[in-house]
Amino acid sequence: MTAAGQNSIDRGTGRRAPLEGPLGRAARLAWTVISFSLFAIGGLLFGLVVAPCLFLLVRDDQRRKHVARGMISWLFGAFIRFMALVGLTWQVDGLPTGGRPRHCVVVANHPTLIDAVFLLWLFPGADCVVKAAHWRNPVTMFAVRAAGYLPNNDDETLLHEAVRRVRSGGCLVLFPQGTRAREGEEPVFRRGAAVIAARAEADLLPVRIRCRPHILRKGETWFRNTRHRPHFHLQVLDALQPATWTEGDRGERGGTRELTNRLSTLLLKAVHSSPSKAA
Amino acid sequence: MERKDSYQYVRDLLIQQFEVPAEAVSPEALLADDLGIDSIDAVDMIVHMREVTGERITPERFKTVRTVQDVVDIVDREIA
Repeated sequence: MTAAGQNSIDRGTGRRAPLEGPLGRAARLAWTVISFSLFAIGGLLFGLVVAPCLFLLVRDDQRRKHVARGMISWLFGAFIRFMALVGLTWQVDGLPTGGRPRHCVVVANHPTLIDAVFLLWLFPGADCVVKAAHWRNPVTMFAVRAAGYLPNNDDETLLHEAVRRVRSGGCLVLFPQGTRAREGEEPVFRRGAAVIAARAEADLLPVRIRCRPHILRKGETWFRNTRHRPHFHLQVLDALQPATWTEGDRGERGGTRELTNRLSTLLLKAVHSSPSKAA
Repeated sequence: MERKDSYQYVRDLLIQQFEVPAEAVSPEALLADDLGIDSIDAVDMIVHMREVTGERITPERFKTVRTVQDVVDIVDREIA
């Protein structure tokens, strides 16, 4: 059943067949190389052309971040559509309609390298906790700086700043497992996402990401070519209110631990019927 | 605060703020494995400890902390 106020977008699932078999696999491998090159070139061009213009033309920090995040979202959307022409297929369920979600923490599991690309496209204008190494990577450094994303370099600053930004109305995307898991590794969710949402008095919006067959996992070569065309399925689940977990005896510490366990079950283990298919 | 009180202070902090059972606390107890102190708790501990040690404790210094005694040592050094 598709809940009111949500929508489902589905692209390319009907076009799987032509890209299987030796010729299809070769085409997908070529497309992977092209897609990666495009991302790198896009990142460098953003740094050489777009970011300097932004810093020159938009003097106000908040305004510039807003514009940069909007551009990143648009570019990521275009990039995914480009990849989906040949390389992969995708489906998104349960995306809230009616404007950009505000004052919330979007939490997702992190199976592949491009999860953040999907989420920053689906949640335009969102803030994001990003690996500090991206501030030194020439492909990403200009975009993360212009957008004013949050580096994960020190727990105390990160926690404080994340709470401040969400409390003032921001929508923050983060991965509670921190980094992608390697093949065969069981990801462990850290409590930070639940604590940020609890202290900012904001909802948690869980997004379950599945990619079959697996591609772009940690430690996996990016050009690994699968027999079948990879399919991404993103399910935005019902929002969780941290207050209902932290009230009473449990307090913040116990409540956010239970909430983190719940998130872990929802995103890593439980099997949900797709809202669109059950309708 | 006297030096000898540092252990008592850390012990009370763990029991009162982090719901650690009193019998589990010992100088050798491992914060994460034995007492269930996670990275968020560590941040909150630093915030609490600054009330007695001043602003000097940094998360950097807390990174190498493994046992209760390691925390006591930090408090000792800061109040010495």
